[in-house]
Amino acid sequence: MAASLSLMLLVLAACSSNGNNGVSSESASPVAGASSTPSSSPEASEPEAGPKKEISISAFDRGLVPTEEGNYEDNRWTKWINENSPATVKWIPVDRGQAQQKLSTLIASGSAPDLIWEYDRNYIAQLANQGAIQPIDAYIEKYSTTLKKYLQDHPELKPAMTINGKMYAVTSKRSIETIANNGMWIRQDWLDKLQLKAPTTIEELIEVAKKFKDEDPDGNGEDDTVPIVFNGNAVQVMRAFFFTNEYQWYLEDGQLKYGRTLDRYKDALAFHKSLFDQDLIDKEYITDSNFQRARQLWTTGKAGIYFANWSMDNEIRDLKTNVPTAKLAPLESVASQYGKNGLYQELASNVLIAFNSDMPEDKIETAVKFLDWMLETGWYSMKFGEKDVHYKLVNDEVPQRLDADKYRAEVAYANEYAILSQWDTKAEWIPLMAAQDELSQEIALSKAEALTVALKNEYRRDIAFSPDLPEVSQLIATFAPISTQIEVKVVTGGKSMTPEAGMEQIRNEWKRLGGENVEKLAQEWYEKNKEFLTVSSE
Amino acid sequence: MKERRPGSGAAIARPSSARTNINTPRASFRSRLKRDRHLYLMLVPVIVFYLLFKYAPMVGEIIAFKDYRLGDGVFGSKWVGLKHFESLFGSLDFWRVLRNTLVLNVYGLVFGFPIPIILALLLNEVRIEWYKRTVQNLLYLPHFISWVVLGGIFIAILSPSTGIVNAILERVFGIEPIYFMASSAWWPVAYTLSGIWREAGWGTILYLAAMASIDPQLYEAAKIDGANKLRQIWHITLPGIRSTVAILLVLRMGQMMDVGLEQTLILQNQSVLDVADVISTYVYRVGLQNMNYSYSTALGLFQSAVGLILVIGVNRLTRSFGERGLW
Repeated sequence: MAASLSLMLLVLAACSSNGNNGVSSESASPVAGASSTPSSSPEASEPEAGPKKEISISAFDRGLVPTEEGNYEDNRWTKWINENSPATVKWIPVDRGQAQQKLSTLIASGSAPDLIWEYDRNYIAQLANQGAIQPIDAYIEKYSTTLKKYLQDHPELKPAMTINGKMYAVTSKRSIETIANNGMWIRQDWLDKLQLKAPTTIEELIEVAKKFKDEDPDGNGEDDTVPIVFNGNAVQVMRAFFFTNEYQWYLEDGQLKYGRTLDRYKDALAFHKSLFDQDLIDKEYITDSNFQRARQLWTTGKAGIYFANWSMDNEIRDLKTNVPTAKLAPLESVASQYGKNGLYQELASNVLIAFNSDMPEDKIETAVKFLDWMLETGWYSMKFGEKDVHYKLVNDEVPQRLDADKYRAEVAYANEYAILSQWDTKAEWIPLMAAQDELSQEIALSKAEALTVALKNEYRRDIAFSPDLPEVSQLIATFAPISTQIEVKVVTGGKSMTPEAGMEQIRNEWKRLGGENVEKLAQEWYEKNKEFLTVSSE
Repeated sequence: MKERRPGSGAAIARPSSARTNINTPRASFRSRLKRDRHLYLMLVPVIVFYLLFKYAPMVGEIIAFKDYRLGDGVFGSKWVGLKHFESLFGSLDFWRVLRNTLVLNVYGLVFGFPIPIILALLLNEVRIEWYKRTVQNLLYLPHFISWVVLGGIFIAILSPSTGIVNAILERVFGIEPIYFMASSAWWPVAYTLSGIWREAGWGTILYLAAMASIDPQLYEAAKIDGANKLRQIWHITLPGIRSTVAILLVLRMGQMMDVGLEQTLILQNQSVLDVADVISTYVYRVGLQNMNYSYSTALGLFQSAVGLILVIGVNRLTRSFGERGLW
């Protein structure tokens, strides 16, 4: 392990000198830079106002580029960008599954792209602490027009971009369908059959689940239904009822406290346990770590409530194929003794784009201009394709896909390049934008409803971001598996461990690992960064 | 090839010609170099490969004694002495993951190591060729299936509600279903068994090769002396593969501190983290996900050092038993 890790770093460090030389020579003579990309030579030969500078940008490789289109580095959209944008862009694909590791490796080797982006703010904060990216307040001020104005108009994006008081990244707003995240679905036809109403409190939820279990809602005369099934979000969904996310920090009387150590967390565990004890969830959910078992129960019509995402096209489509009579409804979050919390939602910021610390100023200028262009006009084509080829405008504003297959083949992958965007869906547009066949329309209609339901209740988030101190992440990396295991013992252990006893153990572990000291550090960090941590939902 | 032939007298059977026509070692080296220059030339890329990719990177181990930052690089980061080792040995988690790693490896060694030998012995005695080949292929198959798939199958087989193992236990022995994968006591056993399932068949290859090189005359002689099958295995086959076993054992000892990341991540679940959190998953979580490169390098260095000590120790031991060992 040591050998391979240091091998990685050292071999790459060896290349880094080369990499830097290459970069500096390119920036010194832009002509050489342009000629080094033979793929773009046809455009380069066209007369243009001055030679464009080259910048490199990371792109997630999701394996979506069909072979006929080329690859992530070279395809119709990269060419289109080079023709239309104020820069020549070299895209550096990184495998989505290992994006952070791959990016870190590229940075260690000095061959990282000029612009590095990730969704995960924690990662960007780590890069800032590691000295791999640079603050850019001054450059945005100096070179930007569109982006500068956009950021001034959207102050709610500021916390995401600010690390240690400086702007280390730029971003744009998410569209609402990517802000909504967790969600619940319920079998409306089961509710109707048993003459029940959709639950609104956790007590009602348990009552409905019990009836789903005992009263044979699928009417096959067998005791084979599982009332509630999970996907990876389920635990977060159940904790959200009690205003405690496992990984979030909460302000309790002005004091920063970790979600897992709160009194409320005990109630969340007790609720989870009661579902397990009463057989309302799959008893083997523990080993269903990829949630395929749960998905199967759901898509074969054996499950009544799905703790998952607001948008689940494939699961719903599969269920409707297997059980055509199934009727689905999005289920709104339910109230606990602490009130009604929304289910997990993302913050307003979309991908965070950071600037490599090796970037010289002239490149930064080009990059900023490129980002201006992207935010101004560039993103639209990469999201929807060419007008009247891939989409047509309905009501002059809603881009409706003309041919789903053509879109998937020629445009879908280009989303990766639209790193800034001003797109904002409206729920009622979803059916307009979807394919027009009956099933797709049914799914789209319920999806539109689900989006509204998912965003109906505000999700409690006291500070925009968790403390990005190394001591904090170190503690949590050690604490998380220990705490998780205690929680599982509480849930599955029957009488052997009460939620109270479990909570005590969790707190003891937290203390043993130095949690009190870390709380102090977190509090100091909070006092210092308060102004950047306010969550403003618009 | 001649020298490496395993078996009783192989070690002594050095070709004597090379010895006799050269007198001093220096002259021998030069003239050999000259004579076999083409062969040595062919070796150069391999040596370069090892120097470049196996030895040069070891310089990077210095980050175990530094506070490595991506922005500062391997050489630019500041020295911190033994800080990372101190926090490593001072951390309770380290001892937990070390214990788990060792437990899984000891299980693997005690149960996993002899099984390929037993399988090879059995296969070696099979006389019907097509049957032997079919069985061999079936045994090799799991080696080529990824852990994602095997893990899924394994978890399904052991499921308390739908798994075949629990169904048999219940029907035949009347035992209540056991949730093997979620029990801290059973999980290491299940882990070891899954490892055996995947690799034992593949592991027989080397032993079968060693058995094939045993002189058939020995068996004939034994038969004439009236030795039955078991006697033949005991007195001919096993001694014949003794040195192969010794070498594989020494090599296995070098991995006592490693546990495969993939297998662990796929088989582990929330309720067995106390026994399933091993060095590799710990390094992944603390080192890579939190960018504590120096800390995880320190851990890796410790891991390698222990591995090296074990290899040397066991190598000595095998040599004291009269085997050749690794060197």
